[in-house]
Amino acid sequence: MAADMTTLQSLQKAHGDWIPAHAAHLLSKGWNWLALAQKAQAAGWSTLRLPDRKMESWRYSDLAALRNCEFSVTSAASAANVAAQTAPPELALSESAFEVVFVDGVFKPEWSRLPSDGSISLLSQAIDGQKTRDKVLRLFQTELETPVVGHGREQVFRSVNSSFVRDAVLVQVNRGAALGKPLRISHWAGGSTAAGSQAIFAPRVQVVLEENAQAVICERFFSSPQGSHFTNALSHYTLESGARLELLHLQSQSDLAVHLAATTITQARDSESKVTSLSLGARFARHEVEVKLGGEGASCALAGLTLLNGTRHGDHLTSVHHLLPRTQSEQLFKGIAAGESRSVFNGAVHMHRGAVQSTAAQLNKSLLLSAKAEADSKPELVIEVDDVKATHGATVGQLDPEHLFYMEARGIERSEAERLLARGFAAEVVFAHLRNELLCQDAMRVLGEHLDQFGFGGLGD
Amino acid sequence: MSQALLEVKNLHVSVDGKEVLKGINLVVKPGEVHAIMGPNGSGKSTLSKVLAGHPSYDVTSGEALFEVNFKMKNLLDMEPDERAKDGLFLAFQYPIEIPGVTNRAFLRSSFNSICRHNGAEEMDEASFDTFLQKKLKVVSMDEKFLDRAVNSGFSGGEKKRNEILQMAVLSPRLSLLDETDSGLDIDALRVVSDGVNQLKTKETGVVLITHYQRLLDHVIPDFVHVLANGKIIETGDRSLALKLEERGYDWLLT
Repeated sequence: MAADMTTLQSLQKAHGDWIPAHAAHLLSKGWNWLALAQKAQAAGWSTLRLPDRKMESWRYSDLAALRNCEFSVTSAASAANVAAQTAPPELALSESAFEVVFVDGVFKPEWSRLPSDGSISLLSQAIDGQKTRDKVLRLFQTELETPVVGHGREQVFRSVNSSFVRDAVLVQVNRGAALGKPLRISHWAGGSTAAGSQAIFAPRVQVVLEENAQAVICERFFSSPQGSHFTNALSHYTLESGARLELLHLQSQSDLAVHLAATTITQARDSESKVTSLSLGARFARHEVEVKLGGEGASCALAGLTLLNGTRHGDHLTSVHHLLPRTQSEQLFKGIAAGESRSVFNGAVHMHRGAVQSTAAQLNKSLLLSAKAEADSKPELVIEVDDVKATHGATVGQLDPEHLFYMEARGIERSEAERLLARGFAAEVVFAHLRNELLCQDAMRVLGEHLDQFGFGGLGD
Repeated sequence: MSQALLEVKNLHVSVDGKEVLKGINLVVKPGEVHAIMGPNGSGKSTLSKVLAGHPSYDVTSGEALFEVNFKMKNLLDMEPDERAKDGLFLAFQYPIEIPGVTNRAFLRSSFNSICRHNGAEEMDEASFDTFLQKKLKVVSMDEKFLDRAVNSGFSGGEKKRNEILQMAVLSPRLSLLDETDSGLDIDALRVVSDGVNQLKTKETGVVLITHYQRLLDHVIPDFVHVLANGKIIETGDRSLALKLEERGYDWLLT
């Protein structure tokens, strides 16, 4: 427990060092409520303990990576310094997207491109007095002001995020409208902090799609190759009736980084979400996806991939709540684990009493590329009502020697055959629900880069 | 007399400790078509898989020499991909389905790997696509098959055509066709055998492994061998196949 205290104490110290100036800025702009809410969040989580492996949802995931660390919030000046350099190739602007770029947690307008209709805005702009659409701002305020203590340790990192929020992306697509282009929200972490300390980032997104509105959104996380930092991201999506969301979470941080992210999606009648989560980098990564199907006929389709080597750890945790009749969920999660890495999938499906005639299907497939790699799968079905259909399945396997032989018999070298097979295994996740061409290209390019660093060749032996 | 393309000498092979091939001798010269026939379980498929380098078989003695740049190299010392790069091709009896890898990407990776090995220039996507168009015609295959995962959801006949498409793309010097005719209807058999006929040249060799004479009506063999109980027990010309069709194998086995 002492180690837990150390992590939280260290986070508290970082917060204590940073909050006075931040709060002073907020007060000067008349945003007293936010300063108070962020302090209240910090007071809330500082009384909790970090999750540990005695908790079901953390059984296979040890937060050792956060122990004995000192954290600090990068100063705006150092972020600006990094930002002054040329944009990394990952952040090249695309004509066919709206772009919001953060460098070390600080919005970078020169590398961003927002639509002029106000559907996408930033908290920092709102604080500076720019007009922001009402509903999304109200939802953001509600989230910030909801105390975490009631939710307990499960959600401690969400509260940590709230207390450290420095900026946020606020998206509101009005009734019947669509974002004209996909929105790419890119986080680049590369800045330096005081020697020995890890930069902590708190990316935050709040999205509301009004009735029959549509959006394609990508949250991308990159970092400089040697970047050691702690990203603790939180995104909330609200889909009103008939709204449609296509979301890609693309995590490609350095092998030294710790990445925790939570995405919540609340869906009303006949709304539809398609979520793809690619966890390709980081030393320790965990993405929690929580969906509430709170309207008749609402549906979600989730797909996720962890790609791991060395001693890295990757973790997907989903919880899908079917609350009303004829809701549907579908999940495909895969893990590729080489070296001594560990891939974890926790997938909970909850059929609540009102969920008659709902269906849920969940599939978890793991590919182990070495004898020392590990894959853990923990499906969890809670069914409180008759007349629903819920299925789940899990498989763990290695590369099929017959597949390898067939490819070798066509002159393809063993290492290339392994790479192609692993890529094919992964590509099924990318193309399961993602339809936007630009995002598919993004995903496949970054996936290819990670696979190229894998060092295939005799891995299957 | 021209140099042999393949020279199998006294090849003995075991699977799980059981001897399956008991001393095979076979010489294939450029321009020749050989048919290997025989009852089920005689070792026909084993022979083709061993030559291609399948890891499940133990070669207990013998060698399989393959001509590469006028020198005889022992296939059995080479990795499967090296054998393919040097011009050996096995059309699988049961082509493998490879999920997630498109036929197009697979063919290009294979083709370019062989180009690299032979010091030829690799093709970019656009020129490879043009090249593929011509090859598709050889087996009357629709382009849509290129964008599907290798053999996934293909019918039996489509899989066999896909094997011949790969053969057309890779231009091997020696092709082993393992029961490529099985499971084909008359029309598909004609397409596949037309493909093989278009692809064989004076410089290349073909070994057809088959149960039935009917393939040999389309692809005319120069030699017919009967493989039984792990040994070649009879060799003749085309008339041997007709005789087998008429009389079965029993007269040879007793």
